[in-house]
Amino acid sequence: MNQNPPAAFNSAKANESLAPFTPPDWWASPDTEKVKSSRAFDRASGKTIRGIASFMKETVFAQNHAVSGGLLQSLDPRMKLVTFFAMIVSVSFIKHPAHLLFVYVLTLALAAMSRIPIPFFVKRVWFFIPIFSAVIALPALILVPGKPIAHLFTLAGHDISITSQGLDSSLLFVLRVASSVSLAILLTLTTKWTQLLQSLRTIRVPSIFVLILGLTYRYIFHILDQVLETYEARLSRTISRQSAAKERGWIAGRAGHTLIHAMKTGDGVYEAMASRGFTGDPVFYSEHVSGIGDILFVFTAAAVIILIAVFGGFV
Amino acid sequence: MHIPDGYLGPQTYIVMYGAMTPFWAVAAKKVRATLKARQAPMIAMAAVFSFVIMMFNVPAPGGTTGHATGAAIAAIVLGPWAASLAVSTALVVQAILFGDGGITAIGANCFTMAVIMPFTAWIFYKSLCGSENSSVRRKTIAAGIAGYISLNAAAFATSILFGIQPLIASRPDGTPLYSPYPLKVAIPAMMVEHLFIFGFVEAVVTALIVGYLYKAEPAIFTSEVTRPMRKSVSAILWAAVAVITILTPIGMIAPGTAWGEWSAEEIGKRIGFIPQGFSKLQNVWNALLPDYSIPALSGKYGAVGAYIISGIVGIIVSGLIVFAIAKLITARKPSKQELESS
Repeated sequence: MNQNPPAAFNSAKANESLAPFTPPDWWASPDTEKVKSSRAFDRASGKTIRGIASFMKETVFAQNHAVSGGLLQSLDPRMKLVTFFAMIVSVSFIKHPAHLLFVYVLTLALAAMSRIPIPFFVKRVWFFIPIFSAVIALPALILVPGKPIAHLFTLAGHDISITSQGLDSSLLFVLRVASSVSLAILLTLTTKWTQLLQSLRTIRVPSIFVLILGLTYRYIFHILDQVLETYEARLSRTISRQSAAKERGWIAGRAGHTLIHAMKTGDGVYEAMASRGFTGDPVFYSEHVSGIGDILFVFTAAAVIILIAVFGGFV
Repeated sequence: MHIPDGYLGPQTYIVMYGAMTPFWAVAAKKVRATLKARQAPMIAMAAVFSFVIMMFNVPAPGGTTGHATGAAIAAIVLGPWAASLAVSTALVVQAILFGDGGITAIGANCFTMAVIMPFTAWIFYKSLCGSENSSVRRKTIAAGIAGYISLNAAAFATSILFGIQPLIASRPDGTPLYSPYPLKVAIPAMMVEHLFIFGFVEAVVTALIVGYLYKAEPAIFTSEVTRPMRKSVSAILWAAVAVITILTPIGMIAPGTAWGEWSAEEIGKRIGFIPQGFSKLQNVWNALLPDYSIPALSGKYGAVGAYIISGIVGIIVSGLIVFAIAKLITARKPSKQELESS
């Protein structure tokens, strides 16, 4: 409507903006001086930025293994999903540490055959959950009552010893966690996420739920990217630290804004879906056909589960 | 609070999957009724939020940082059923695609973080914040309290799941097969950090976010336009009661007596003697409901039926007591502001 150039170009204000820069008063206000000692931003927001960045990097790199053409990558994802779930469930029934160790070694062999570097795989599995579980399991060595097998020290007249039951239960606990996590990570590392989600339909997960899971996965990265940009934008124009209370207020505001933004994005996504003919019932198609290799794999896995069960594993 | 694989035995995680299935079905039906075809993207985006909120680190006192779990905020903003579905979705995505939280433990994790937490948060928020016209300050405080209590309720449920493992799944020689610590260790270990640290982080973040949302986008609170509280609360309570009542016979199938439900003879066997007061007390109790059974219902199936009937009687009695207490608490005078606004 207005044919004239924007006001800034021809008004007196344009000249003002060329005037020598004078810092605003608040730069020198005592408020910013006072809170200099607070390391709130570095501590919390720095952790947030690093956390989001490393999460995204790890996920992207992990997906590279899904297309690297090893043994597990070549299998029908539906067969793989059912077999791995069955393995994880049978691991939960095992009652002897030796059998769990066998399953764990098996996952290492599978990883090697699937061209996943073993050091990467071991680090990825053990980092956090099994190491954390091992720390939890340590006191169980002496706390679980039972037959003493190694005397440690005497405390206020009580003998503190590692018990046979304590040793067994700690080993069972840590090896069970490690084997289950290894199986779960092996499955996610060697399968594209789209295929993994579609395969859920073979175990009768309703298609609407599969659609919701897919949308969730896709938009986690979109929303995280926005959060990261917000933090980076703020970091780039931060010249002084704030108090922890102000920092909390800002973070909560961003989290609240994320919810608003996510809900609005949801509206937009729905409109885009509706305009393409979505009525509420998703339709999936699968490009996979099971081959002889898949059947062999399922039979081998079933044989392993039966072997463990027969040789005193489950009882 | 994400329980990994290997912490819970099949006796526990199968029951938790069983408990969650009707819940997911009811939640899906309720959400479908309000959101229609829109439900898939909306639930997905709420799930994205409950995933992303855990990435926001907040400075906590003592030089540490913490993060909120988001289930309380989701319940306050979207209502408990939508929050339940959204948090469940986030938990399934985490377990299957990111290896965070066990695949066998999905049922248990959803029960604590997608049922106990959002429903507790919502009930406390709704009963504390009064009417829709209450001040933002009051709603903010209510949200904070709801966040604190709901997180601790979920942590408590998790600690019980851990603590019952050695009781229900051990080898004959006493070796625990799963999480090795009994209730007396598991409960304090979980609760101390949640009562004194994480609970406050959850409270502050929940309160600040709810306060922000009321100022920035009050229309987002879709939970407020849904039906009035009382009907929904009673629906949830009845659903919970039904689940518990149906699950009760599982206690009959499981070998041994439920923990803490030993008869005097069993206590005698376990600790070597029968406390005198206990045997006297048991006679009084037997007179009212003889060992949870009614004489006419005998035999194995009769016993199960009697157990359920006794359970229902017990539920009605305790329900009446809770109802009376709740009435006393909620029967308060309307605030000055509410009178003015009405």
